[in-house]
Amino acid sequence: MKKAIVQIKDLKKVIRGKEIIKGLTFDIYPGEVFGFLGPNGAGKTTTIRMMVGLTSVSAGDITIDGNSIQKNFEKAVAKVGAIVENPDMYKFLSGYQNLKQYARMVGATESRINEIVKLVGLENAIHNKVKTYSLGMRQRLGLAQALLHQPSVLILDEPTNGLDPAGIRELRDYLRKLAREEDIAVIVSSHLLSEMELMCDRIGIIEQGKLVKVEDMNEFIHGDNQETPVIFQVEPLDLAERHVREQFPNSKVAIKDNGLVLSINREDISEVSSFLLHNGVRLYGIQSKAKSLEDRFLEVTAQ
Amino acid sequence: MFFKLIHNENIKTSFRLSTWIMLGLLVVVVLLNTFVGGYKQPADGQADLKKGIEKNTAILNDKEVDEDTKETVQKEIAKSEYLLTHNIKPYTIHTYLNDEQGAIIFFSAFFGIIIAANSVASEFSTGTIKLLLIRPIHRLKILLSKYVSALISTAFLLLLGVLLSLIAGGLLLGFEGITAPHAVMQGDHLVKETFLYTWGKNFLLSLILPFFVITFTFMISTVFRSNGLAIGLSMAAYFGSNIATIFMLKYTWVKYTPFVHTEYLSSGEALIKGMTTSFSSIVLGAYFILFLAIAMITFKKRDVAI
Repeated sequence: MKKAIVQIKDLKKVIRGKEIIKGLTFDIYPGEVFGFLGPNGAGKTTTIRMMVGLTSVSAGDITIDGNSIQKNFEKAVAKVGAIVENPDMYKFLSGYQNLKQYARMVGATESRINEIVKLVGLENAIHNKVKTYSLGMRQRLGLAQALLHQPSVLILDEPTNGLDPAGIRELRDYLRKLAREEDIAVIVSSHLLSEMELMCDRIGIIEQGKLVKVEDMNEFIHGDNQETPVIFQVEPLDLAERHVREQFPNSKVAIKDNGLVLSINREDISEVSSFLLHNGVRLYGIQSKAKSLEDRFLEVTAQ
Repeated sequence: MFFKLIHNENIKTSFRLSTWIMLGLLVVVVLLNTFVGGYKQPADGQADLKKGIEKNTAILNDKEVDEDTKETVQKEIAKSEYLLTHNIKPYTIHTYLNDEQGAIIFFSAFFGIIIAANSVASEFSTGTIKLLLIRPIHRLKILLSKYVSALISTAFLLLLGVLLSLIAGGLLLGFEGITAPHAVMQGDHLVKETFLYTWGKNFLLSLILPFFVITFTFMISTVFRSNGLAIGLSMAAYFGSNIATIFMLKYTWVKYTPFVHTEYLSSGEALIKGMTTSFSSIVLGAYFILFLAIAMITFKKRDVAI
């Protein structure tokens, strides 16, 4: 196991006596894309703000590459590139002038700016004023400023916001490449669950300021819960339902779209089919419905 | 690093449209005063002085004129006589530059207030503060670079106004008057002094109030993150301070308010008894430190949630 680059320990945030973040503990490792999920108002952005020092930490700590964001802010944040919510830039300056502003603060060279501009595909518009940019272009510029100083940790809050499908795909591939090839830890927060499913290696779900789950994406979707909904196209439906309810009283049974839906393990599919056939039910088709991140997310957060 | 931060701030200021409007306005005002102000160098200044004395003597002998006017006239006569006996030539450019001084300081202070008010507040209102504060730079360095940059911008405007009026005035009225001697009151008698020296000294002393108000603006902008509020309060302080101070003169605590001291230090006029330069400097210094400390503490502690 690699050494964690970001360590969050019992992190709390109290605003006006109200606990917004109630003790988060998790680590993020180099080379992974970590998805930060949660309903609106769960505390995702607040946590991200604490990670980059925009908001103070009430209790606990965040360390980045061993440096505490509270005690050693400059050293800790030097390793971080981020977009927090919208990539707000100086609209009266050009994209290039904006990047020069940040380059002066982190000591990046002119050739690094040119390199990064090429990388995010803004060569043609970089000398135009930012007020002429589309949201997608501003996202790209935001990504450019975040990567300017070659950070070890990249934090992106809703990065696909405003990108077209091609742009989203490009970003996804690029983030994965950054993680794989440059060993950067990428932290992404988003509401777009289908997007996160394709993008992330690991996810953390936060709800009402508490961490509900931190898990590998595959394990999370398919992991501990082996039961998946299976649809049996049968006739007659009512007879089949009655028999099944008697035979498998512990399974969830429902009727949906003229099919009998059972939540069962993979191994039980054959047993159920043969039971139905033996009881005079005609079977026309069996469909196993794979779960998506969305299903699992709603399951976990509904508890 | 700190200079790079100041450079960044200067760039932001120089690319704002409002900066160029201010700059244009300053140039227009200075030049307007030059060419429609009706300034003209007299052909024979000495003769004019003599005529002036005769006219003023007539006023002194007039029984209908009140005592106050007579006192002013008396002073004018004394000055004219002093100039004549010391063979000092009167120059119109002196009047011109004194008028310009007021205009330049007025506009530069106004612009300085706007720049200082926007400096911090606009970063919050546009959301750009986020990408500014996630750099590996201490927050106080960023704040101080903004303050210094606002002062530099104001100084730049002042310098532009000064150079412009010296050149325009010189072209119109001749350059020799700028470095010629003139008469100034020192205590209760007149002395001879180089005009540029007196003018420069007055100019610098008159900057105490703008400097003080701009620092105040900067604090309000940082604490309330609202440029409107910062501009409003600062304008009120800048223009209303004298009137407000006059109303407060009957209270003893007025000696701890800032504007009796800015007035005393810049013009030497003591509004209350027992004013000294050192006491005024201490009181103003204390306000200055207080303003900056409040700005720094709130900026350092602020949770950025936009």
